[in-house]
Amino acid sequence: MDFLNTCYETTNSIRPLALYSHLLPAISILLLGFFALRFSKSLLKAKVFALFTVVLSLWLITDLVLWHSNNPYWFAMFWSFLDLLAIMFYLLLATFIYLDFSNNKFIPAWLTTVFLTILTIPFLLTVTGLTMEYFDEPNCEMAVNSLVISYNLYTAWFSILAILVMSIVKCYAVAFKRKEVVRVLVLALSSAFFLGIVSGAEQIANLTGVFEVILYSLFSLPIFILILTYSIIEQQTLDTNVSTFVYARLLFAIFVLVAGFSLFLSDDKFEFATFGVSTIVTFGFGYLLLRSARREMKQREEIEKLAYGLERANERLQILDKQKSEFVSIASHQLRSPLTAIRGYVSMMAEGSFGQLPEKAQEILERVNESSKFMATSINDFLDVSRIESGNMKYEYMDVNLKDQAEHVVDDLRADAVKRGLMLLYRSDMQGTGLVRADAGKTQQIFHNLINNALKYTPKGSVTVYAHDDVKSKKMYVDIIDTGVGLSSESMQKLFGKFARAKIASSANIMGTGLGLFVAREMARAMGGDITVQSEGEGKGSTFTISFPLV
Amino acid sequence: MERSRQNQKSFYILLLALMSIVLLSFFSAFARFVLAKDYNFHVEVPCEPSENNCFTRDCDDYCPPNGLENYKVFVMPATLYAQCDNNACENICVDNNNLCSEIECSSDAGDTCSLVIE
Repeated sequence: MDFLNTCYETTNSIRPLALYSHLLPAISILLLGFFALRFSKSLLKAKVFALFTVVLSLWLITDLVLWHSNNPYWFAMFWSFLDLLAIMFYLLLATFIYLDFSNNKFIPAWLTTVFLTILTIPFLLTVTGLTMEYFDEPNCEMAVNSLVISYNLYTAWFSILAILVMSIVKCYAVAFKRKEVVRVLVLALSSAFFLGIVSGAEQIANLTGVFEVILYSLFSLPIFILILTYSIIEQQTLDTNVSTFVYARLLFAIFVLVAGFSLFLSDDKFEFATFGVSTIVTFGFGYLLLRSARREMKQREEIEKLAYGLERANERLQILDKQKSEFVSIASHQLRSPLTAIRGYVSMMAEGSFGQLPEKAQEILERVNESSKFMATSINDFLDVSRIESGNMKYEYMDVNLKDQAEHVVDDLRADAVKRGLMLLYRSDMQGTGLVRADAGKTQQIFHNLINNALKYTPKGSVTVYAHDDVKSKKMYVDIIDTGVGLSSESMQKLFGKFARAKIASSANIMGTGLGLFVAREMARAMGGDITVQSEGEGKGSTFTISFPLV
Repeated sequence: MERSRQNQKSFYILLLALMSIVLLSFFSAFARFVLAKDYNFHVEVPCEPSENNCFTRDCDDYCPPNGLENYKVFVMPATLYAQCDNNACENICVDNNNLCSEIECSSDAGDTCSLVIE
């Protein structure tokens, strides 16, 4: 059937513009809806948003058909339910915003009732054909029922007002928290702006007959889509995981596709060929983009899975570590009791409690005594580590005079130093009392440990214990300065770790567990103090400094 | 679980209602405007202002594709529109004027009419 070319002639100059102003936003908004549904499908508001995008796209495509149709019958048919679709997407946008602002997990019955009640009148007018009065053939326009025009306008106003009121209520509800207020205002104002522009343009077009106004108003749609994309992706309105980059690339692909499609409308063979090439390129490009988006999602899922696995493994390791500490604690206790008996009997035998022993046996007993002493120290270290790691180390705080305590320990160990052929000296330069708040037993253990270490690792020369204070910074220091094996900078970094021993100590065959310094520093730190070490290098001696805040 | 079902139900009620509305509107519009063509067209046919009371317009301001400055307006059933030829519906409305009804130009109704010279 051939028709007069009235419709084509009225839209001749404007048809390419109509294609761009309708098709690009229609596909973009539909794609945005698809993303919302694909990546946040469990959210009700994502579903409502997707429905809004479908209806808005349907409205755009229906309107586009009007600009490109030369068949007055199809023209009349599509025009007849254009207002119904418009009213529908106004209400869906307001519903989406209601669900977002109210955090409702379902659509309340009252809202569905209001929604469908508002739709009843345009629906009845559409099915009865009363939306149209007649088809104005010379201008290729439908004379629309004025009731429909007014109803469309009032629904748009109602939706805008509802959105603005909801945004104000939401701002109060979030106590004007900046980030949330920005998100609410971005979403509400862009939606109100879009509805205002589109419905306003429709009114102007219906009143003046200049329908090009609608075309120009639709150029606000990409702005609205960009703001919505920003809100959904950047402000996590729909908790999506899609990067803006992926969405932007897809939009670009659509743009190329639309450009190709518009060329298709041309009768020119060259342009038709260009369309073919651009379409093939677009499909190829689109396929790559989709594959890239899928890969990105897969990688994200893999990382999330790995992170979850690591978290579980970490929890399991913590449990195992605790179990290990408990095991060490129990085992050490079980070892300590028989060891105490062994050491006691060896000591009695050495002292002649069971009769005089031959010289050879005395030597052996001395070795047994040394070994059991080392074993007892090791067990104590294991127990201390176990207590520190399980958080069961107890501290009984009191005022301790560190200066006096250091001097006593020096006195205790002097005999041992002499036995080793070393000088053990004590010096002090105190301005204050030297009182610190600590556990006296633990500080004594620390001094013993460090001075003993200094004696062990000093083959010749001296060990000096130097107590001094700084009343300005309210700190007490005890330096243990030796002329021993010294430390490399690498050894110093690892020295306070568990089972850490200086390389030179291992090679010099000096017995030790590598736990003493760890225990000493952990205890010092637990009491508010610290232990540091300085050495100019291997063979150049070292200085350990114990520091505590003065009372 | 129960909340999730409620969430699904509330959405599907709305979805079903909207789908029904769109489909019913589409099919009823298709039936009325495409199949039954149960509506009217307003068409314009050339008019001789020296003989008839014609609608007039200044084509320097705006002119529809038919380019008529002086014209008559007829209301015709949509079913007949396909029979219009030569880019006009004169053959239907003027030659068989019982099929169309003419809308008279009336200055009282705000129309711009030609002055009939007796």
